[in-house]
Amino acid sequence: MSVIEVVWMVAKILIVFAVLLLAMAYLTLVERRFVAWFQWRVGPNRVGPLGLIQPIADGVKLLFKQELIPAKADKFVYFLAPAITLIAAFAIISVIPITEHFYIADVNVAILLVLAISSLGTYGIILAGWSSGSKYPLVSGLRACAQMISYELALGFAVIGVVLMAGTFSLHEIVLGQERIWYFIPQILGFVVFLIAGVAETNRAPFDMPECENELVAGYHTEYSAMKFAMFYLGEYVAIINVGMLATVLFLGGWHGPAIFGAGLVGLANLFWFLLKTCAVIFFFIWLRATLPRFRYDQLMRFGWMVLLPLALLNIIITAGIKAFIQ
Amino acid sequence: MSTGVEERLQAALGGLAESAYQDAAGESVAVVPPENLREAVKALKDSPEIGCDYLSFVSAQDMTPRVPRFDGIYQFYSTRHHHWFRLRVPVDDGKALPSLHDIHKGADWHERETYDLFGIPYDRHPDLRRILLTDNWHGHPLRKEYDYKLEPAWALGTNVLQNVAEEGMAGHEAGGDEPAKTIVLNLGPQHPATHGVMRLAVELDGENIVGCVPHIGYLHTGIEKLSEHRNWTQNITHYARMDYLSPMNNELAYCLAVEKLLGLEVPKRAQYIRVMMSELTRIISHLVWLGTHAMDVGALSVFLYCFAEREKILEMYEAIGGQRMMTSYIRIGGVRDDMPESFPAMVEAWEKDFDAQLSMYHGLLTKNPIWRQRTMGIAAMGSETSLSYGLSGPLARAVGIDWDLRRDNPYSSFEEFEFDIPVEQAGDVYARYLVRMEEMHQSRRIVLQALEKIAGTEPGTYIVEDYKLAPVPRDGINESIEELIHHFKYWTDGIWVPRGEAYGFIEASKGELGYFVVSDGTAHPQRVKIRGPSFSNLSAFPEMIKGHLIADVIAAIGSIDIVLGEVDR
Repeated sequence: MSVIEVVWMVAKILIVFAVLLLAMAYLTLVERRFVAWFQWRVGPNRVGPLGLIQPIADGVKLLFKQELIPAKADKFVYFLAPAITLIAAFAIISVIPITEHFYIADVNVAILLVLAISSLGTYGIILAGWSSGSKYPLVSGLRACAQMISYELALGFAVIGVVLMAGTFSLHEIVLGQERIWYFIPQILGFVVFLIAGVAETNRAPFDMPECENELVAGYHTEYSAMKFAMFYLGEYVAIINVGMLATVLFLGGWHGPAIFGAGLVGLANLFWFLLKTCAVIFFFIWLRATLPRFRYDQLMRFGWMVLLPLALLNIIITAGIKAFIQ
Repeated sequence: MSTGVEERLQAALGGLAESAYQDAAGESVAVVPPENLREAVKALKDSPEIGCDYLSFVSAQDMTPRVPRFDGIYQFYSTRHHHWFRLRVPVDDGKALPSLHDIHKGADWHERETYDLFGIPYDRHPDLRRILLTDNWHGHPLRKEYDYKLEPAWALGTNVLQNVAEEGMAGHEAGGDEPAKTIVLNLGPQHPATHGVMRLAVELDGENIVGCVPHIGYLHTGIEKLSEHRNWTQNITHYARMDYLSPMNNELAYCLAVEKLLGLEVPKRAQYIRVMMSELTRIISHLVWLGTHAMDVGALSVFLYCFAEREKILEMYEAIGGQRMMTSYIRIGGVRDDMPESFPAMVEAWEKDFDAQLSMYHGLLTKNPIWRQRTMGIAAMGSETSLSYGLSGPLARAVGIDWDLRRDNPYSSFEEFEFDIPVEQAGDVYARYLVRMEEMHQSRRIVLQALEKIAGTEPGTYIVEDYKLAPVPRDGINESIEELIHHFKYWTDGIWVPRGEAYGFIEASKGELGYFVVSDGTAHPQRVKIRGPSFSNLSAFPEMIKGHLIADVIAAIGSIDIVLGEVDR
C-alpha cells in the first residue's frame, strides 16, 4: 500500500465520519420537524433559519451540562456503556459501499461483520441498564437483551436470502449483483422482515420497549446525563442511518439509478441515489413512530419468534429452492 | 325519586333503623345505630325491592355540639331501581364504626378517608391508614374545632418519605440469606404516565405484577374544609379546579345540590345551556382521556390531534364563560350570563368537523392490531366486582351495567333529550375505550339538540329572577333602592340557604359525581362532601392489574381516566 493510498484511506474515513456525525445531528432535527408536521405542530424553528442551528445548540447544551452519576453506579461499566454503543454504531459504516468506487473497505464477509458489530452495540444498552444501580434502567436492560436476541435472529435470516441470491457476503458485490433487478422485488418477504427487525434493532417505535418513556421513564439512559446521554442518542441515530444504508445496499439496489446528471457525472448520480434511498428508509422509520402505538414486551417477543422468524425461514427456503431448481 | 320508598326502606330495615323519613329535599334517609349498621347494609343490598348494590360514598358529619358527636353518612344507590338512600349512623367521638369493606369493597378507601379527615376509626378495617394526608399529620381537619393555625401541620423531624419503600412487600428488604425474588418499583409521584401526582408501589416478579399499592393525596387541597369557610357562591370557584378537565361538570353538580336545598326551579333556557355545556365538557374531558391514554400506549400523534380538537371547545368556553378552564359559569339558580349570539355559529363550525375527527381517531386506533393487542383483555373486571368497588360512568358501562344518571335520574331537563347510552360487555380497556368514543358521538347529538331548544326559549332568562339568590342586573342598581340593597347583600353576604341537606349528582364524564351539602341555615355550608368518581374508580386499580405486566399498568391507568385533582380534592 502506497503512501497516497494510506492518505486517501484516512481522508475517506475522516470524510465519512464527519458526514455521518453531521447527518446524525441533522437527523434529530429532521425527525423533530417531520414528527411535528405529522402532529400538526411547528417543531423547533427558532434557532437559526428554519431551526437549522438547533442540533448545534443542542450539542453545545449537552456538552456543558453537569454530569450526574448515581451513587450506586458501577463506575467503570457505567462509563464504558455509552462508548460501546457509539463505537459499534460508527464501526458499521466502514464496510458499507456508498458508491461503486467510494467506500472505506470491501470486506469479503461484510454482512457477518455488520451483524456481529451491531450485536456488540446491544451490550452498551444492557451494561448501561445494569450499571446504573437503578430499577428502571435495570428492567430496560433486561428488555433490551431479550429483544435484541430475538430480532437479531430474524434480521440475520432475512439477509441470508440476499446472500443466496448474490452468492457472496461482500456488500460491494451484492450491490453489483443488483444491476438488473433490485433484490427487494424477488426478496419482498425478506425485505419486510428486514425492515421490521431493523426498527426493533434500533429500539424505535413501535418497538421502543427498552426506553418507552411512559413506562420506564427513559429506560436504560434514565440515569445518564450530559455528554454520556448524548452518546446514547448519537448511537441511536447512527444506528438508524446504518439500517437505512443497509436496507439500501441489500434490497434497494445501492447506488444504482438513472445517470441523471449526465454521463460524465455518474459518480455523483450514484451518490444521489444512494442518499435518496437511505433517506426514504429513514423517513419510513419516522413515519412509523408518528403513527403506531407501542407493542407490549411479551407481544413483541411473540411477534419476533412466532411471526418474523418463521417468515424469514420461509424466505430462505423459497429462495434456496428457486436457486437450486432453476439454475 | 319514586314515592313509597320510605315504606319499603322501613320494611327492609325492619327494627334495624331508628327512623326512616323523606327529608325536605325529597331524599330518603334512615337513621341506624352503629351496632345495626352491617345488618342494615346487608338487608338493603339483599332486599329485592331496595337492591342497594352500589355504595356511592362513605363520609361523616361533625354534629357538634350534639352528643353523640358524629354522624357516619352512607349514600347508596340501586342500579336496578334507580333510587338513592342515605344512612345516618350516629357515633360518639372515639367510638368506632363497623367497617363495610367486605360487603362493599369500595368502602375501603372511603372509610380510610373518613378516618383521615374526621378521626372516626373503623372496626376490622384491613388497612386503616391515612389516605389523603401524610402519616404524620396532626389532627383531623374536618372536625369543627380543628385549627390549622395552632400547630405545624406535620410533626417536623420525622421522615416524610418513610412510605417510599413499601413495608410488607417481599422484595423490599433483601437482607438475610434468601435473595429477594421480587423488586418493588416506585411509579410516581413524578412519572409520565400517572396522569398527575400519584404514586404506585408495584411489586414485580420480572415484569409481572405481584402486588400494587396506590398512594394518593399529593394533590390534596382541602376543598371540603375550605367550602365551610366560603359562602355558597364562592365555593363554585373551588370546584371548577377540582376535576380541572371538566370544570363545568363540577359546578353543575354542586349547583344542583344547592338548588335542591333552596327548592329552586331553574329557567328552561339555563337548563338547556347547562346541558349543552356539560356535554361539551364531557367531550373535552374524553378528548384529554383519549389523547393521554393513546400517548401512554405509544400513539403519540393522537395526543396532539385530541388537544387541537379540545382547543376549539375551550374557545367556546371562553366565549360563553370568559375563561378557558376555570369558568365559574354555572351559578346557583342558572348560569352567569346569557349565551352570546355568536355561540351557535361556533358550535356549528366545530360539530361539522368533529365527526371526521372521531373517525380519524377510530382509523388510527380502533382496528389497529397493536392497539387491540394492548387493550383487549387488559384490566378486565366482572360486573359484580366493579359494582362492589363503586365503579361508575364509562367503567361501569364497559362491564355491561346499563346505568346512566342522565337517563335514569334525569336532571336539568335531560329527559327531553334523545341519546343512546353505549354499553359494552367485556369490561377491559378496549371496552372502556369503545364506550367513551361512542359517548363523544352521543354528546355531540345532545349539544345540537340543546342548541335547538335554547333557540326556542326567551333570551335573557338565564338565571332565576329572585335577587336574594341571583345578582341584580347592572341597570337595575341605578333605578331602585331595593335593588341596590339586594346588590349589596348579594355581594357582601351571599345567599342564605335554609337548613337541611341534599345530594346533587350528575353523570360526569368520569362517572357519578355527587355533592352532599348540609346547610345550618346560614351563608356558609356546614358540610360539603364531594363524591368524585375517580376516587372510587381508582380504588379498584390494584384488583384490576393483578397478574398483568408493567405495560398494562400504564394502559389501565389511562383507561380509568383519573384526574388527581378530583381524587385528592
